[in-house]
Amino acid sequence: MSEKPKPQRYASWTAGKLPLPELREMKRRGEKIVMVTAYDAPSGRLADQAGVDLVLVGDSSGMVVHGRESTVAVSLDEIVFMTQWVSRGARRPLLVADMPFGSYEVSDEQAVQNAVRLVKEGGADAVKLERGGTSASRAHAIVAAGVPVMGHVGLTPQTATVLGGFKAQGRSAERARALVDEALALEAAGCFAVVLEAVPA
Amino acid sequence: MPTIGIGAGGGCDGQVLVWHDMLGYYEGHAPRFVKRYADLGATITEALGRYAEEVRSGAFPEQQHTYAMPEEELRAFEEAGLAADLDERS
Repeated sequence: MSEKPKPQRYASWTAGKLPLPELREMKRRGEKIVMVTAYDAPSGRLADQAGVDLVLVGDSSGMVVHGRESTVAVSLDEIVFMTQWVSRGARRPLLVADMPFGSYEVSDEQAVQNAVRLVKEGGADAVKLERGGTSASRAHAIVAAGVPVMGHVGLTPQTATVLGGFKAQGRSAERARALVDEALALEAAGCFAVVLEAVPA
Repeated sequence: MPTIGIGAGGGCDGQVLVWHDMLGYYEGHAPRFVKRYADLGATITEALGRYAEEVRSGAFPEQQHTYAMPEEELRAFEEAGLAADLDERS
């Protein structure tokens, strides 16, 4: 085992919690941001002990924990429960809760209500939603309500059917340009970060 | 805005991986972008196999996994004849 540097402790609203604006500072300083998923208290605690910066309570749980074929059927309740569990284990990392399929597509109001639920009941610090398009409007509404939002473009598992399965995205010049535009729209909507999944390096 | 990559290369500001994928705690095929940092699936299978074997052979539990009671209490218990009663019932 290599000696790992002790993560810096911060004075913030929750003792020892990594402040969200610190992520931008890390980018500015060229320090890489480490993120991993977790689904229960022990995995959250281990991620914290390893010095991980961001913990994602992902709807990937639908596949890797609950044995489904996709993430589509994952419910908001499931994410709320798992976020509660992870929050008991992970203290320093920022907790990002996935908004599952169907929990933000209908309207900005629906998206805000469900994002607020993940924060109030689940203990999430931020939420993540997939795709560009209407998701940029949802992100804007959620950020305006005071909840930080992470975007997610490229291979978006919730809409894998439309994409033709779990495969790399943005491999033509046209599609690559469209993905960049989606990411920029999410940034303009106020997202604090964006996940890029399965796109050409 | 920081970018967090998963299968998007080292030019991103950060990386994310799925717990079960990176720890080898799943069955079947993992996407190209996963690096396995551990093989928990194999570790767990091996451990469960040994556990089952030791339960069946009687090797588990050992003395260190059991509880004792004070000598005089044990004697009083045996003198009361309860142990014999229980033996008879079983």
